[in-house]
Amino acid sequence: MNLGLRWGDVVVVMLAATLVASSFTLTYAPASGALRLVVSQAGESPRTFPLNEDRTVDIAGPAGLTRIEIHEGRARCLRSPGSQGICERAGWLERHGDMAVSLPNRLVLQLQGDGTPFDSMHF
Amino acid sequence: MTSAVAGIRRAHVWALGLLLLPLLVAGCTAHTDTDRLTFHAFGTLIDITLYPAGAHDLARLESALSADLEIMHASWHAWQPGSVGRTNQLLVLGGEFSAPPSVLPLIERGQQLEIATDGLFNPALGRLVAAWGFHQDEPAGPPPDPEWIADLLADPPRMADIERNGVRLRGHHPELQLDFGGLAKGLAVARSIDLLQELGVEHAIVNAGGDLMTLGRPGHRPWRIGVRDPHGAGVLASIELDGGEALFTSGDYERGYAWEGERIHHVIDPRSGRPSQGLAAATVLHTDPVLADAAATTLMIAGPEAWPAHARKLGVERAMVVLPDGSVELTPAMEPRVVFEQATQSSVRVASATSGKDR
Repeated sequence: MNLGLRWGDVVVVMLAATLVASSFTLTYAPASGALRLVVSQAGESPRTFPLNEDRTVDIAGPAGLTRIEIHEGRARCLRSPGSQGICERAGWLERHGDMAVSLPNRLVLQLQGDGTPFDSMHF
Repeated sequence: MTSAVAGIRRAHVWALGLLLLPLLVAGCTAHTDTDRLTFHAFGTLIDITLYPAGAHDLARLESALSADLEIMHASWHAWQPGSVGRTNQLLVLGGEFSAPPSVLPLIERGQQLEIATDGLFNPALGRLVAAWGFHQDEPAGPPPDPEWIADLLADPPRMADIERNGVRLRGHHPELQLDFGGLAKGLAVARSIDLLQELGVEHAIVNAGGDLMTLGRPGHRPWRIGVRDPHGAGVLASIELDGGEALFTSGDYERGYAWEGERIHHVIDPRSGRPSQGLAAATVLHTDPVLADAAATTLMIAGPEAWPAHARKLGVERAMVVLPDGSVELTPAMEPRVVFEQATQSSVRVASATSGKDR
């Protein structure tokens, strides 16, 4: 059957199909891919920790130590100074944008993935 | 080579170009085009977002903003010595005195807002806030005696009990104690935006402990704000902001303590003399950050029935409240601005009716 296609048409159709498929993958893939934990502390440059390696990290702040646990691709504030337990209560940070704050230690823990980052967090 | 070129017609090149365009756009937005500056001032975490990245002297901005915010913090503090503290001492004496210049704008706005909110917003009730244990760094009980509350509310101090004559003030109530917790942050954010402009910044967000205001836009896109779920680590919703918009929230989860199984939070209802009930949080989007700050507190106090009427009376078109069960209600103008990032039961509320939907 002759559809009147030249070889260039085939190349363009195949490229177009690949592009459409990859666009969908890029747009709708869960933003949790390649997640990392960004620790911002007042007066310090932000520190980044990968989530693919289990570990605990101690961050010193004005009120004492904040212990962060990274386990199986997620992170949490395990212990932190502050009588209200606000940092610990945030629980596991699992998705792009998830956040925990320790005001006494002037710390923000936030997960960043490949999704469009938020310019600021309102709470 | 000639035959290969002939195989791909000019139309193909255009088609490919058009197909590639969205990918290029996606690629451009994935990386961050802003700088962030995080520091501690005004008793909270200050987070400044600056656009474009690499265009600002971050150390200079931090030092200028931090110094300015610390002056405001010391001056307006509700329970440490400062201009508000001095004003409180002089107000209860009943004589006329010259007001510290930094306190006058707070008193002026406080008096306007007390009238506009039918008394729900009352910064003259500092004594009540103190009695609930909130005039200390770590709030704590015991709560005040109900009889003491009833006595105070029989003839409560009001902002109208402050007589203003130019810069001269006179107090007319022995229990009057100013606490500007519900609007000082709005004014501090407004001043920080002004200062950034004076320092030549054109595109920024000033975020003070979660409440924020924008200056300009980051290029041709809007600012993208994540609204944190009050009950966890997640993102409840996202909101796109234009330049000059402020987003303020008042919530029962911010400052508080547990007392005999009850959660005591810092938003005190002047009618009952007790922490407000019926709403977990109220969020206001407005171009005036002082109004946004005070209106968020007012809507929390107004409660689940009356908040839309109070929003309308204050000229607040865009507001959103979270009920204790986690469901969300929005004004009609707020609804198109909010994109929920997790399953949330939401409904649109106007002053007299409700129309609901699940997302």
